[in-house]
Amino acid sequence: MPGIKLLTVDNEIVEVDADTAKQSLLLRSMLHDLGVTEIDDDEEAISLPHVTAAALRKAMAWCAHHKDDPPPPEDDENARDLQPQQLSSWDAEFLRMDQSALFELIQAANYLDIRGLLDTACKAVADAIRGRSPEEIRKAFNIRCDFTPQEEEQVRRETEWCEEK
Amino acid sequence: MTDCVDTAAATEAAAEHESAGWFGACPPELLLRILGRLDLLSLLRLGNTCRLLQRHCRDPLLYTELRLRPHSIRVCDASLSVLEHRTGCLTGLDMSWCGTDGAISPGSFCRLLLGTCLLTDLRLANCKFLDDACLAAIGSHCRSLTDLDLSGCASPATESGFASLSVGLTRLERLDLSRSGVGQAALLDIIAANPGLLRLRLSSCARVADFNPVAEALARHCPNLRSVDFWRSGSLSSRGLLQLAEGCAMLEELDLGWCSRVESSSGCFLRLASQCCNLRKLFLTANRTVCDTDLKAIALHCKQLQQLDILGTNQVTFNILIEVLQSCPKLELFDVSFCAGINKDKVHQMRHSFPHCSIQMSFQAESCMVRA
Repeated sequence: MPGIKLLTVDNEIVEVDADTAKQSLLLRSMLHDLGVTEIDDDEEAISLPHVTAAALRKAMAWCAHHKDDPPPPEDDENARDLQPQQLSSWDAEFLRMDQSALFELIQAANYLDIRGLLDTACKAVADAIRGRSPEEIRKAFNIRCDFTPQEEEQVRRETEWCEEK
Repeated sequence: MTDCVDTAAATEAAAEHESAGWFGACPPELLLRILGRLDLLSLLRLGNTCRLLQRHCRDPLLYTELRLRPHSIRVCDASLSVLEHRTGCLTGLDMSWCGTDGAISPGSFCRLLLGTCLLTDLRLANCKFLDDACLAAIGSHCRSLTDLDLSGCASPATESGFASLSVGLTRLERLDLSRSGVGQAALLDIIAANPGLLRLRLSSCARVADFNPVAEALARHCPNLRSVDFWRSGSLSSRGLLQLAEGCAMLEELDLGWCSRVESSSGCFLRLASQCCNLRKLFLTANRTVCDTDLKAIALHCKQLQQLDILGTNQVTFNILIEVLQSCPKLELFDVSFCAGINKDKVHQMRHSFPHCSIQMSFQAESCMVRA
């Protein structure tokens, strides 16, 4: 299988399998436009200004595992799935990483346009939010409360009714 | 001066992103994608964590559907005031069973409706806070509604409140007024204003004095009507049914349960069967007059029939039931409870010969037969 060279934002050159890379709609169109068919040592690496090497390797590993998946359904505003949906055990294990790495992966999937990975990773973040109190959410996602004490009291009062009676 | 303000604003924005932790680095469309996967309570809790997320969690795009029914015991005026500025994209709102303990005031509900001009689906079953002002607000703000459920909303709303619905609502397709306080005049106005009605539920509307003009209005204005529920509309008589059958030939579901003034001798059931050949569900529960001739007409014309309920008639014979079962191959539910002359053995025989159809005979009926 031919490989291609990608230059990540942290200045690393990562070589990836071209077929796997084509699950990224961005890379697919880039390869198409550049007419890249096989690896060539003289070929310049394609520069990816928003993707770290770690996230790129992770994203390509996901693509390699899911290469035979049917394409994900089109975005449908009316079909937002609000119910917690079970991730496959492979995906759950795959996404077991700290939140900072998960967010890096989400941004890579978003930039590279890999819909399946993006959906799966967003689902994992939503699952991590669900059922937690604001304080627990802050802790999990490294959020600092920047409300003034008065504001915080106000938002707390506004949503008091959400909590179990 | 302007530069100073801009710089200050930029610094503030940067600080907000900084505070939002991992979320702070996400572009807005990505935040929307993640937040769009959250249920209402998670969204509200996340919005309480910091300023940036508070702002994003208020985005009306996240509130196209608000299903408050699962939270009915918690929802109160404070909930509605939190939501009232987020309803610009709302198309579906379900508040059924909310406010039963007096936690919702009519005023806060009316304020919630102010910005909801895109709303098409509104469910307010058993909302005891609905008064005339609320109904007037629905009529004037929610003009795109196609689905409206007001079942069980009997008081404090009065006739004049229901009358105000017909002022603004003209696109209704599905309307549930079962056990509501709607009166005859308001109901006639609503029907006249909504010729696109497909499904209408009117069971047990105690304030409607006479259902015959209602049936007549449906026949005149709503030629596409697919389903109508007259359960326990005691004032409906044969005349009303005859008119309904003439005007609404597309009917697929009709509930005439406990409409005891609809009488077979008028020929109304024969007319119904021959006019409305698309009937799929027909409930003649506790109509004592249904006879073999009626069932013969149903067997002849209504080949799409899936459910038939003739509970409690004294006039039908076993042979005609077999004929119905043979002629209506799609029949999957046939209720023959309390039919005089149809005993347990005959039911067993039918169940044996027509295993695809569930032949219903209530327990009481069986024990009655045993005693007899």
